[in-house]
Amino acid sequence: MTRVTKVMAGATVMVGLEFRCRLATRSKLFSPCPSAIDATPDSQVDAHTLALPGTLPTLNRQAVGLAIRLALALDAEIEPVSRWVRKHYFAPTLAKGYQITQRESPLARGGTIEVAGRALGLTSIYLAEDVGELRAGVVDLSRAGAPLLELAGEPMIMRATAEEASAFLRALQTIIRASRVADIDMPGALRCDAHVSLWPKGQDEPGTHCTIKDVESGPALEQAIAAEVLRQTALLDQGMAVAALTLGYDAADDRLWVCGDHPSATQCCYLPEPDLPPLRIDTAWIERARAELRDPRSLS
Amino acid sequence: MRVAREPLSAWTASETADAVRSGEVSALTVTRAALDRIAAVDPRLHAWTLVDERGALAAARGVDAARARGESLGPLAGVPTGLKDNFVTAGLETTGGSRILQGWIPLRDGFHASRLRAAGAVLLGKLALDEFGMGSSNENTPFTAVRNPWALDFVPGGSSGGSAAAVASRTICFSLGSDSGGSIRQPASLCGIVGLKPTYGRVSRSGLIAFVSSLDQPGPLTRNVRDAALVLGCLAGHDPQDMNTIRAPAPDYLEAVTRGRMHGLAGLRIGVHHEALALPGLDPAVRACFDAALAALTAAGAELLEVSLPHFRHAVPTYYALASALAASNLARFDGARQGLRMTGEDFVRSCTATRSQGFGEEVKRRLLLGTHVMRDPSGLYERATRVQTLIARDYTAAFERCDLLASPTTRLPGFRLGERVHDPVAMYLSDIFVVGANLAGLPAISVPAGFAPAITGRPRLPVGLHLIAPLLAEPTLLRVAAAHEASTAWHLEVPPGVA
Repeated sequence: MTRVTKVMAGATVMVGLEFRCRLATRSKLFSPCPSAIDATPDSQVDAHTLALPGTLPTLNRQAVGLAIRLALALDAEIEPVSRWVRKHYFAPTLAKGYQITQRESPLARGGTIEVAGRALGLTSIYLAEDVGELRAGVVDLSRAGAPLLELAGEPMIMRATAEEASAFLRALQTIIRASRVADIDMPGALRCDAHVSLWPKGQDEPGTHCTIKDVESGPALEQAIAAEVLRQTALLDQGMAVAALTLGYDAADDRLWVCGDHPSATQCCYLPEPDLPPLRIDTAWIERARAELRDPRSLS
Repeated sequence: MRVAREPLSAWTASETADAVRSGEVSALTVTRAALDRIAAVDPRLHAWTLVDERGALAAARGVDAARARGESLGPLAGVPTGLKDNFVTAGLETTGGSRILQGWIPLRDGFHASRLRAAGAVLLGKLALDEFGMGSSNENTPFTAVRNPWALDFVPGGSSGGSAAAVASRTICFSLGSDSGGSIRQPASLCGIVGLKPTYGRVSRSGLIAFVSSLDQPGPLTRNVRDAALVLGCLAGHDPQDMNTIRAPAPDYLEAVTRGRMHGLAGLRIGVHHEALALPGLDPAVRACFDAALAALTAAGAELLEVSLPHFRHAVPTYYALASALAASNLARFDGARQGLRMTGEDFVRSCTATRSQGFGEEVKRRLLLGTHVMRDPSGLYERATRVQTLIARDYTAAFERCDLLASPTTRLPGFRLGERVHDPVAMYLSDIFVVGANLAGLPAISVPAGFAPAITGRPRLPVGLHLIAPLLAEPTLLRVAAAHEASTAWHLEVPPGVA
């Protein structure tokens, strides 16, 4: 950690956090297939999950209700109309060849996560379906199609250490626990991506960012960001450019690795999702979610 | 009774169902006759990709047994039918007309097979199509190209060419097709039968292999207008499995047919877009049939007026931009990992590439390339195409403020020979000019028999279709006008010489 502090005298560290909360619904986001977070591999698979020809997505309203509830807990503004897009890339874990998400037209905007006087502003909060997992070369689609609520934070300037990032992660865990929208103590319930870039003094804009995917704990997030800052600093010190990479972090070995199964932004293309009408959320739906947030007994 | 004197193959769906319900004939007899007819005529046509004799006979016995138990029978009781092979059917191989899905046998029926079975229809098998619905001639197939029953060296149209040829050749009373850019109406026209594309969202797409999700719409191909209304009535309505289906209940379509037949068209205004008729390439014989059809409609009491569709000429390019992009999107799932053809390579990308290279035909690959280009285009080609689509839809809305219905020929030519256009995809795409607008605007449209282009040098006598477009959910108007036209003509009663 001491070396990080030294480096940061010459450059500002920028970190953008994105959180992915696995909503605790009975079924998947677009099909009646069960969606338990602790399911055994390949146990939660139906025609939709397998993307069999002729299947169409049908929206799970329970997932929308939980999404509204968490967005309200974070003081976000619910959008009366949000839309779905297909995000295309080829991967064995993506049976349809695209992921359905609200990335371009989110369910909610704004909201904050507050920690000891500092607030992390959220730019957008939106629903998306999860993708499958690759375990030792074998595809497991149990998780594919599970409802995720994605929360994108504003880029922030890091202070002395990466501790702040982990404090926001822990604060969000507390809010999620209180709003009861996810099985927050289960592995995979809350994953965090950190976009890390260095902004050397005297330059007009931050350097290229790299993304560390799927970090699940506060300590791991701190270590991963610290390791990435060191890696980028070393590159810049040697006069080399930082390439945009998607990285994984192995907390046990304190090791970053380049991850192959996440597409880069240029490999993806988007189309509006024609199978789903725009999602319209009226005041009654919002008020129902607000009541559930205040009073656990009114849970639907 | 008329039906008793004619062979079973001449009976319409309504007549067959009535006769089965009344006990005049058993479903088993009807089914056996249909299977015999397939065996007799289909070797010349290749409309059927799969005939499920055992399943059909069992279904027919089921209908007869239900009648024997005194149960009330459905509106399609004992009526033999077939589905375009992009409808998912339990226990019957469903290929979408592609090598990449060969060998896939779904476990469950899709919406359409299950609705038709529930109505008492007897499913005889699956019908040929252009691969995944991409084509206007049925030649885009890894299997055998379908022949037109009116002239065996001519195409039946596409993409629902097998569905059209099977009905025109009288192997079945009706079939289902799907229409994304004319794929029900164009083959219906070329085969001299009725083809109905409902309003987008009127019939569920659940269980239909997706091609252009925002335009795809299933519908019936039949030998008369009444049967089209009968089948639509069995399919129309809200389906929770397709979030785009319309919640309004389906009206009584048969009543609309009766109204058209009995009461004529007094007070009805039919719009004609003369600019489109003036475009080069309209066959004079098609024009003559169209003029005769307009005369029949005015004789029934309709009033004609000229309308303008300012964005008409953009319809075909707009359609191909949207259709290609959505095809690339919808066909992305065929990676060989789960069903159908599977080629193995060293890793996922290599196996996926090998499967797709081997599994898709030339036209599909062309559209996937076009579609990927449209999706990745930095100037937002897809987005712009959807904006033009909105303008086109507004043209129709404006036109329908002045008239109740629009009329045109269905196609510019009465048909073309197999192989005549395979090397000119753009000419093939332009053959959709009169039909794609209804898809882009989501409107219901129908093609009905409107006469014949007489034999000339190098071309036999071929059927010609009249194309009608109605406002959203105005299927009753469409059926009423089509029925009035049919009541004053006899074109729909002619039997193709190739299969007489």
